[in-house]
Amino acid sequence: MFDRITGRVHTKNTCQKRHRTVMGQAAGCGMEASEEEERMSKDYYSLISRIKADEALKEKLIVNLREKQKQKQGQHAVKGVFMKMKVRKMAAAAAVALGLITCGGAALAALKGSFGVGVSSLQSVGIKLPDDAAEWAEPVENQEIGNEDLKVALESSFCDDGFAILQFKVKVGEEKLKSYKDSMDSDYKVPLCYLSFNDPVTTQNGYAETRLGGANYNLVVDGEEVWVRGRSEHSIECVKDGEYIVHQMWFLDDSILNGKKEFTIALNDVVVGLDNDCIPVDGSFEVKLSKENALDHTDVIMPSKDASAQYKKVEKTIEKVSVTPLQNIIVIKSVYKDVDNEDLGYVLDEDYVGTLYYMAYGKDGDNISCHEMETERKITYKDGTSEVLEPGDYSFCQKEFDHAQLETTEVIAVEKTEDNSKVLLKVYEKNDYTAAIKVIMECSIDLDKKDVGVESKDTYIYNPEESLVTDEYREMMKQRYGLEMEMGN
Amino acid sequence: MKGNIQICPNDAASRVRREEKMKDDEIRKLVETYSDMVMRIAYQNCFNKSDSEDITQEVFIKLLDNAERIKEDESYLKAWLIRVTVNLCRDYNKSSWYKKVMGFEGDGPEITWEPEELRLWEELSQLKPVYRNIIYLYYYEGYKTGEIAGILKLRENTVSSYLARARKKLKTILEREGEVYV
Repeated sequence: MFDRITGRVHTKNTCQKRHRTVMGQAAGCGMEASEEEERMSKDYYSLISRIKADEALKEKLIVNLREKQKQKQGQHAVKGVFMKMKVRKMAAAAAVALGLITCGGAALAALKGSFGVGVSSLQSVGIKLPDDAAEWAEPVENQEIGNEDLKVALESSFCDDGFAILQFKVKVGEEKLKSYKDSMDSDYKVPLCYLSFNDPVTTQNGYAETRLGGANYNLVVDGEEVWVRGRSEHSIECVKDGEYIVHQMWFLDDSILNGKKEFTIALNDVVVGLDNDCIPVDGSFEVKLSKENALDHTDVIMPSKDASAQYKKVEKTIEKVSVTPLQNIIVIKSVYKDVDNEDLGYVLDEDYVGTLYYMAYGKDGDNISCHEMETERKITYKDGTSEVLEPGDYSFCQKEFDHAQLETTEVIAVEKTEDNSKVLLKVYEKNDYTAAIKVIMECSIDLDKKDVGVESKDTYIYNPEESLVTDEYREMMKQRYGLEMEMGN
Repeated sequence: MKGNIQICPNDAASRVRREEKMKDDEIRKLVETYSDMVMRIAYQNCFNKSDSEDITQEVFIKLLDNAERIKEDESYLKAWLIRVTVNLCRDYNKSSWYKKVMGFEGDGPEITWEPEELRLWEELSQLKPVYRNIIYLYYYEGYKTGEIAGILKLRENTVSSYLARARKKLKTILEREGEVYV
């Protein structure tokens, strides 16, 4: 087979040879080898080819590896002795550490519940909780299901003016873990892909799977099934080999809870997505949640003046800001007035609004974590009929209509900083055709004075057509996607 | 009594002998052959040159620690390198938030991208890592879906379905690129 094992820098000829081979393969595996596909393959190939290990890196690697090689050879003679000592030392250290962790853990659990464990994983979905998060969690006891091979335990819960967060621990038994590692490298970490509820396992093509792939959009609140797409987030952290902390979060406001401050969530059909397997776990969870405690320590700001800004045909209004023990929650209502299907669905229409992003900044102007979600979407046509839509759904634009009104509700969860006195929330629009990004709205929220100011903006931070790249854009790329790149001249 | 002696190819003495055989020229050859590939996979997973360089170093250190693999079939070695790189990237991505919080800064100069390339990277970054890895192995390295399944420890059906989705997304990205800049 052609350069399967070389991985060298490719010349034009080898590049062409590879494309022919890839196309041949595409045909061989039932895919149509079209010119279009070949062009796509070439474009991709040419982009990726630009990534190379610098000569300096290669030399550094060679020097380091040679050095390490020498050390290894020198160490082998005495390694056996050191290994034995190391094992004993480690065993002693582990025993002490385990004692401390057990005592400390028990004390913490008794005082605060165990919510603090692994709570950092929520950062991966843009939600950063304060250091004292554990103090606000309610421990949940005796909610463990499964068997020695696979256990799932509901450990603690938190509920505030909108968010309900549950913390689970998933533990894979040693034997089961070994069965996954047997054919793998010794350092293989078995990944937990999801923890799913209320979505029974189906078998298609001989493989078990959940319909929603662990998305947790089905919820049972006080015995009633509710569909919570757009309101569900899920984060997983591996705390040690075979042990995972899962945070499942739903945004449950009054539109779901009808004003109830206490409610019960039932989680049936528990399924663990481990490695490539979809494993049902016997048992279910039921947890009673109360907002009372968090609400007693929550400041709610209802903007006293008009807190709205217009951009094209959409008016965005800050409806409410809640400062809960764990986060700042900003609710934004958007109304697209007098719109037709092209305003909403045709990218080159002058009234088309592109993809919206949110970024938050603290008192000192530093970027702080924020997570946006759309919770409601409804369109009302000119004859008065209306449709409730899925969050982010624009498929209704395939039919023709005019003089309609689209309403959406978005919730932005913003990190609480040490000095949580001011938040600046910026709304950005990405042009879905040119990819240019501009600030369209700024919301200044003074949490001390309980004041909300909103201002329309129209400032580009990135415009590829004019080679405009600002630091703000770079910061956005870094925060949202972890991209750190410099521009060419 | 010789008949009772069992030779275990992975015992410590055998490993030492094999490692001793890994001479300077072998190290150079390995680095020259595979460092670009490891760097490419790492970059597509973490989009940062200095982190990709760290991961590349880590992969080669692991290779040295598992020197017996060098005597294995070369295609096996390459697949091993790919899998180790992907796994290290996954671990890296899990802890990347921490590096940000701790003010981690890379020390190498970044890759210089043209504006349209930068935009393409932005789009690619929105694909799931598993899609990016599958696209890379299929289009760049020329692996078949069955081989990709073996390397990434996925089912072949899963790889085929991911590849179909990834191709569709890549096509959309590249088409959009073409509309604006060609």
